[in-house]
Amino acid sequence: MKNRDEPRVDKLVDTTWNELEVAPREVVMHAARQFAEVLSLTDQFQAFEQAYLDFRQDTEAQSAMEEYQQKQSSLKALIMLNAVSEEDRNELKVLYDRFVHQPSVVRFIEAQDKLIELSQQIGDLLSQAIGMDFGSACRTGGCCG
Amino acid sequence: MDSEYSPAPTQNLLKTDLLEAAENLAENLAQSEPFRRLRTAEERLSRDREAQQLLSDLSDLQQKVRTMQYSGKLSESDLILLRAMQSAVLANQTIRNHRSAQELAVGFLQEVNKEISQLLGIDFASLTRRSGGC
Repeated sequence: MKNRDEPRVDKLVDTTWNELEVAPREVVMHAARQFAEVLSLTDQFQAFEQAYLDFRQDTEAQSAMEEYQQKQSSLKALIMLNAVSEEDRNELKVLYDRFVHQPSVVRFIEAQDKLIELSQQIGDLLSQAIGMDFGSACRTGGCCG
Repeated sequence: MDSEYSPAPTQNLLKTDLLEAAENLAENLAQSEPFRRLRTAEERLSRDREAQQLLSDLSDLQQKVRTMQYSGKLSESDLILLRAMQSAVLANQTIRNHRSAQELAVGFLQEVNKEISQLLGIDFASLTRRSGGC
């Protein structure tokens, strides 16, 4: 058991800090939860959630997405080799256009863009405060994770 | 300032309550132990002439090696020199402390993002990125 009068090692590491100014972990996490709650109530986030639900419930849009994904998947190897025929390329484009022009998909993409625009402004604010790019630092699982 | 008046010369989307919550989070993050440690480590690194020289030498050597690699003139002795320089950088205590402080700060930031993302049901950090590339 440690002697109560023995100075703690971590207290000796950085004596220049004013401990009252350090935000404890729980306080930071509380601020994070509070921020998430406020963000979830914004028009942009609410619109994004609604647009996502509408898209998921739109059977025509879901079927258009599946058809496009199936075609893309069947051509995966040829796409990597840049050896897709003109006919397949055209068919893929038609399926893609049909998918992205579904009204619920258009609304979802628009809502997502607005949420991204808002989030980027918040990301800039956080990055400036911490002196590090928030989005890049939070990247996990490889360079594009 | 009148909060109801909202001129938008630069299309600022952050309304008062969201701005307050974001600023509160930013301030708390900046004042958290991992980020205070990182700032201390950065200050020490910027004051440490030997560490600065090592980093500068390594950067110059890496640039030289890349150039020689492109022109096909890279020799075994160049690689030995590069490895020796990398070892010297890794052995420097100030640089090691800075790297370790950086790793702790990034780890903490990821935990904070996880907390936010769990509540939102979407990876918040991925929405904040301005470029899709690596």
